[in-house]
Amino acid sequence: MGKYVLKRLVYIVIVFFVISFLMYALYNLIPTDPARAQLEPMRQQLKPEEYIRMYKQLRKEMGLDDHLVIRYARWMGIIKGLKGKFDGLLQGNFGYSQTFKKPVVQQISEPMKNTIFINIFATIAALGITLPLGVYCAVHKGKKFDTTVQTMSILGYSLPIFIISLIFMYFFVVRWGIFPLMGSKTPNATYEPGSWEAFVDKVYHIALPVIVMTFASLGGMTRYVRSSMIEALGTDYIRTARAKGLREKVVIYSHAWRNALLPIITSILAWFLGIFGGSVIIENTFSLNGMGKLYWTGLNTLDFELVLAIQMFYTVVSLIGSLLIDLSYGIVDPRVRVNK
Amino acid sequence: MSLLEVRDLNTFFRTKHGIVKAVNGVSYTVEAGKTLGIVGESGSGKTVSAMSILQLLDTNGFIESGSIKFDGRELTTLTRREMYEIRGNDISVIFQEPMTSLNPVFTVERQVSEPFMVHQGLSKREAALRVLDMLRDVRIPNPEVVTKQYPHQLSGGMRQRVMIAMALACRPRILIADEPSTALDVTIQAQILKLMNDLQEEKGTSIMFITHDLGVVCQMADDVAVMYCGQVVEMAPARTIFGKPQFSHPYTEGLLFSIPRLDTPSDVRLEAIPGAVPHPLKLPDGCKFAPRCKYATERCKVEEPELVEVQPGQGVRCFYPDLKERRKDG
Repeated sequence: MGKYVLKRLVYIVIVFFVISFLMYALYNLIPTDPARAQLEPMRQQLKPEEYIRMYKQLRKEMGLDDHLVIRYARWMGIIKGLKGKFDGLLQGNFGYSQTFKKPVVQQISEPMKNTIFINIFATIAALGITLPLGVYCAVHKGKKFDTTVQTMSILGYSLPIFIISLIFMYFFVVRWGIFPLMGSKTPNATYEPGSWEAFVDKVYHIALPVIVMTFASLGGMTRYVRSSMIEALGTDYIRTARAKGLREKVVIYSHAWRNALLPIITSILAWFLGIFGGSVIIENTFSLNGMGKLYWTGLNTLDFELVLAIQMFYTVVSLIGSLLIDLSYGIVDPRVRVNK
Repeated sequence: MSLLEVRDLNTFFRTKHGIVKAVNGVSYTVEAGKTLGIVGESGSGKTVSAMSILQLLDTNGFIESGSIKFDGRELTTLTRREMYEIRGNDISVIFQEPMTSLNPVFTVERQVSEPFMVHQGLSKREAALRVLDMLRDVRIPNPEVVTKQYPHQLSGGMRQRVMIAMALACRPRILIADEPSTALDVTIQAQILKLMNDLQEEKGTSIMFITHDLGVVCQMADDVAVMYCGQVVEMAPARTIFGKPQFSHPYTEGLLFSIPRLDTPSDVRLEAIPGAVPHPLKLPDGCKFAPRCKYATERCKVEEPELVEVQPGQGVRCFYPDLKERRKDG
């Protein structure tokens, strides 16, 4: 097991560097020029020759003329930066946002908290509903309840998330007035930041987005849980378990469930990342101050370092996710644990 | 009184295309301490009839009518709860596929100890000790190691031994062995069959041995039931069938002709039964075997024969049970 974990960790590190390099190279293709952006306000006061000289000097100072690999290494913090010390991603410096005129780290911290908060809520809620629902449907396959859930779930996963958002907004906000329409907090609120009231207000504001995200992920996940449970229940060893005289409850929740869990765990990762992807749309629809919305703004303003930092955030989330999945797989499946 | 008595059992399956009569009026008995061999091709209803005994049918299967008496007790009318007490305790099963019949995520110890815990109320630790005894009984080397292992670490023969250990855990009165050696190598097959014979002698368990292999039946069984299309076509002591019988069903005759024997002259070609088993939804009207039978007459195609006792202990479902007469006429 120790060797297995170590191997996974090494993989993750390699993948992190490969992805980050690809991302860096790709975003470099965006035709932006930080040097020009910085000089733009002074352009009127300078003569053309002076402007060009300053521009060239600035490019050199910012290291823009260096080779891609060197710039990458500098940005990552593997080699010494322009100021003569290691100052990159690995040291916690995510770069400078040209749009917001402040370090990316400052700009990113609040949205990151919000996004993680929303996604964890949505994940817990969705798992809490889909796992029991899927198992129940599998055990009562073909009964009326199962058919109803199957029909509903097709509806759930074939509707795009922004349509679901609009429908829910219409009912919960416009018709019934239960939740606020958008935003992350009440405007002009007088409570102290970090107080209990602030927390309650936040939960009140993210409730509807979380409900929408949960609802949107119900369909696919329920179907997946149901089908892997049905598959597990149809196997020979389930027949063996019944032939031993085990109670049906033990057969279902111990023998079948442990096996149905294997494919489910794998799919949870893809689905969890899907939620993060979905939150780009949700945060924009509900105008929440989250990573997805910031990402969108960054892309629209060609804010190279900001977008790259957010991209790396998504990368790290998915890498940690897949590491957790691999580890839990090792715990659940003895074949993985012993062989590798 | 027989230990297990199956009478006129009808087990059907509801399918999209109609009712499939998988088992159609089957009767047989298992005597205490004896082995009944049930022979037939795939789809002849041998497994379904055995699963009917334990009510382990798929959800679309049901026992339409008939009686299954175990030790004088009617099984078909038992509640689910009462059935739990029978399964794995009085009657247990070994399945065909040792590769897939054990749960891949549980250790051998956990799987073999379950019957002890469920039926005898033993604690985990007590059960673990009994598991070791059981593994020794089925001649597994290093039981202390094997008990902590997972199925994928064991060979096919070892897994089947684990299955047998599990099935015999609570000293069942009847062991249903559903093709227990079919998926194994011939050498391992011989070992497993010998093990079952030995254990039967030690523990006096009755065995219901389901197989399509006549050689295995000959080695294992005291009595034989030959099944075809959900019916028993012949029921006789093994000695009668494998000796030089006076009476025989044409299907049994065909089966025996299709396997080589040590005394078969080398210039005699083995004979295969022509045709295939009819589709369960399109069974012929008269005798189910008539379309493939070389002795079939007009009568066979319209009228269905009953299982008739041709001599004490032997029943044949054919209008022409006498071998010599049939061959002369045909």
